[in-house]
Amino acid sequence: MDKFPRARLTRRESLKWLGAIAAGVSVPLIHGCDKKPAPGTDAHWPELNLQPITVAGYGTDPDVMKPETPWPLTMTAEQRELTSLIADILVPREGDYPSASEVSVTDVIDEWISAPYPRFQTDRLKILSGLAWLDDESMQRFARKFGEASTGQQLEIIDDIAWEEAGSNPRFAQMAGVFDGLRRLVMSAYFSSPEGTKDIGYQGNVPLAGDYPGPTPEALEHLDGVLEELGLSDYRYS
Amino acid sequence: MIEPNYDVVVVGSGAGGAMAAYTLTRAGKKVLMLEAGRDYDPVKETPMFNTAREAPLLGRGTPDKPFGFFDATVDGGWEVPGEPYTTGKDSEFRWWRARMLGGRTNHWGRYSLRFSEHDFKGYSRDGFGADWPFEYAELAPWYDRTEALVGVCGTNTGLDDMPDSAPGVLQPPPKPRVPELLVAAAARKLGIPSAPMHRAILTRPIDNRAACFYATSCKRGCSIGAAFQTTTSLLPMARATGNLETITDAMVRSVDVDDQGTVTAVTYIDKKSGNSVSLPARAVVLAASACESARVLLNSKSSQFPDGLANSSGQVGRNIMDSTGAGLSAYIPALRGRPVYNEDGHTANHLFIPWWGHEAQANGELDFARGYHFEMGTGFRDPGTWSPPSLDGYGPDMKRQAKQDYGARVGLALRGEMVPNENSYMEIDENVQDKWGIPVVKFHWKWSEQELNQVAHGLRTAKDILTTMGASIPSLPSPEEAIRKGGEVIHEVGSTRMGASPEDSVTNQYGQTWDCNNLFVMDGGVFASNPHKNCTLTIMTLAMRNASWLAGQLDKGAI
Repeated sequence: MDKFPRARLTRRESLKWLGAIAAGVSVPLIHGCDKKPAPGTDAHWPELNLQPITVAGYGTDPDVMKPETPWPLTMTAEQRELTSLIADILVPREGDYPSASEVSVTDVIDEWISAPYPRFQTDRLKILSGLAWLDDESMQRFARKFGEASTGQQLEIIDDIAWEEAGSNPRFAQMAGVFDGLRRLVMSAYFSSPEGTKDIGYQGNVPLAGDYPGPTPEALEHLDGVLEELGLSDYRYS
Repeated sequence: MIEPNYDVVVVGSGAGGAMAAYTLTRAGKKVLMLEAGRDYDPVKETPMFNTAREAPLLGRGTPDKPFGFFDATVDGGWEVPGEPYTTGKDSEFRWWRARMLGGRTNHWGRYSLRFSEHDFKGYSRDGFGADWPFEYAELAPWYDRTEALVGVCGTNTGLDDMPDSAPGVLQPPPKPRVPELLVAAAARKLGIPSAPMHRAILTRPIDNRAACFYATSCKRGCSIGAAFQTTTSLLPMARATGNLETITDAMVRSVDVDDQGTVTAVTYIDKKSGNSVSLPARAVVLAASACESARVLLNSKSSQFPDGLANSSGQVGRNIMDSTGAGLSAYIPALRGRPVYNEDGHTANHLFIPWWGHEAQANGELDFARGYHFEMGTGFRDPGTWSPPSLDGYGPDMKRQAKQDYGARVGLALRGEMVPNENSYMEIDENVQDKWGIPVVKFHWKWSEQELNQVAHGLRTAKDILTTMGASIPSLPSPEEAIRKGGEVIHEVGSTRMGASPEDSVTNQYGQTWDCNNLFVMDGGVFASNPHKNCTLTIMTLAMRNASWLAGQLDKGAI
């Protein structure tokens, strides 16, 4: 349950779930893709027939000291390959920082969509449909599956679905919603890896001796600038 | 029945039960404690330092573990397998339970704010609900003793919503974080004060418990004992007296009486064998949680007590109050890309916004009678638990956007006081039994205008504060949309309220039931009102005071 629901200031309805995910609670990954493609456009959407996942979850008293995922991964090799491809378009290797697939983001997504819990199964349908859409779209445009298209061709499709404008284009709106959710899942998974955690700069989760030191001088100096900018310098907490 | 070799049976090992057991055993009384869940040892079972990545699903909540994989709750949550509850028509209520030694103290938020003088006399002040049967001054020294024993960090602020502790009782609070300082400045511009949160976290070691080392979420429990939970403090201390015996997996079904209406036994189901066991008892303390204790009473029917035990007032199960909950958050442009430093701290609020509107309420300027506070949600957290906001594009530029947004989100969570109403109560659902054959609870729930108006005020105020910080918030949800369901803040209390008269309350000021002098309630059920300040500190304070009184009664032979 999110203690801090987001204000309605987001550009896309699909963002509502975000806050809840930040609070560590599962909500459907992707909204905004339940609608059928708009008639009279050349929009398309795959009809997948997925068998429900009925294996057991980890139960109400799992061994939290030795976390294990009891359910099997369910993506096909082809789906995993395509997921890795998209993940690495989103987060390519940059200098010393690895790409998303190099830090097992694909495994995280496979585990996510293979979980037996209802909300993750909702995400499964959306993500697998999104992957199928990419192949369908690529077949239509280039007569080959997405993974077999050239990098330029792949990015041509991605450019149609990855930007804010896609949300108001009937041809791409549905896929744009799925892509947005997938993008944020990839980012969470990437930043959760040791390398991604270093990339984002997180400095916590280490035991400190003595009192909590509070903000660094640099952080306080930045705050001073913020207070100034917002006209709050006279209202400093003391 | 054999003569018991203990003086008191305590039902429950959470905040109330453990404090009662601690107090009684230290006073030389033999205590037998019954806990419905399994044994649990935070020293061996707390996942300290594990990152979200190490858990299934990045640690996100699931029906098995609603607050995430690493949350301390064992065999609990909104649903307990085999132990259902039902709700009345048009009612939504959610009941969080934990089936483990120490109960919900293993994962609670540790916010520990005293109730104020005015909180004990709400009815006299505004005509809603009921007064408590004593004044703040009566409880103040017990708050001091409880805070010193539990270990609470914070400061004396002099604010009317935060009564001062005796000198030397509070431990030093941690320094505020940058976003909290920004919230505090924005609120101050609007005339709203902020203050260090009071939290049951040691910043100085006491007994065998270490001081906080400012890492790893307290919701997981705390293997070093810095975050208070009964399993690392009161229970081992009570056990060390040699006067405490504990039986786990013991699901209490009823409290039994003789022909005179005196309590003689407690009947429980041994969950391991499924057998029903009747234990003789000289005195019984129910501290199974407000609604579980009321359930036991309502299920304890006899010829003398056909409507349930201790229910001659008809108030058992009535007057249930949760805290109101609502919230608003936004990305603050001015915080984007701010310098990263270690913001874990004690992993919850260092600053919060206490209720500032008592005077306005006294002057009739507000359309709701009771106050609320804001908790602040901010910080550079384990990035695996964070998901960036709306992002555009892909590749290095998109990643940079995401990194800029890290730590730029600020949330304000309202936690407010509800006034009891006749539509919010529990009863026994005679048509449904749990897997142990015990009839289950049926909840009825409705928020009143009081709560909805309060939430509307809170949303407007949160918007003002966030806007002052530079956020853009074009519209607000309605209070009906924004308010959390009953039970979801997990502060449900009042089901066996105390009072000055047996006519309209279940217990006297000591938690002693009016109907049976050897039966006590020492959980949140006895609350006559539910101030917005989180219930656990006051549950423990009352349990300490009332168990001391019970020990005195036993010494005098009055029970």
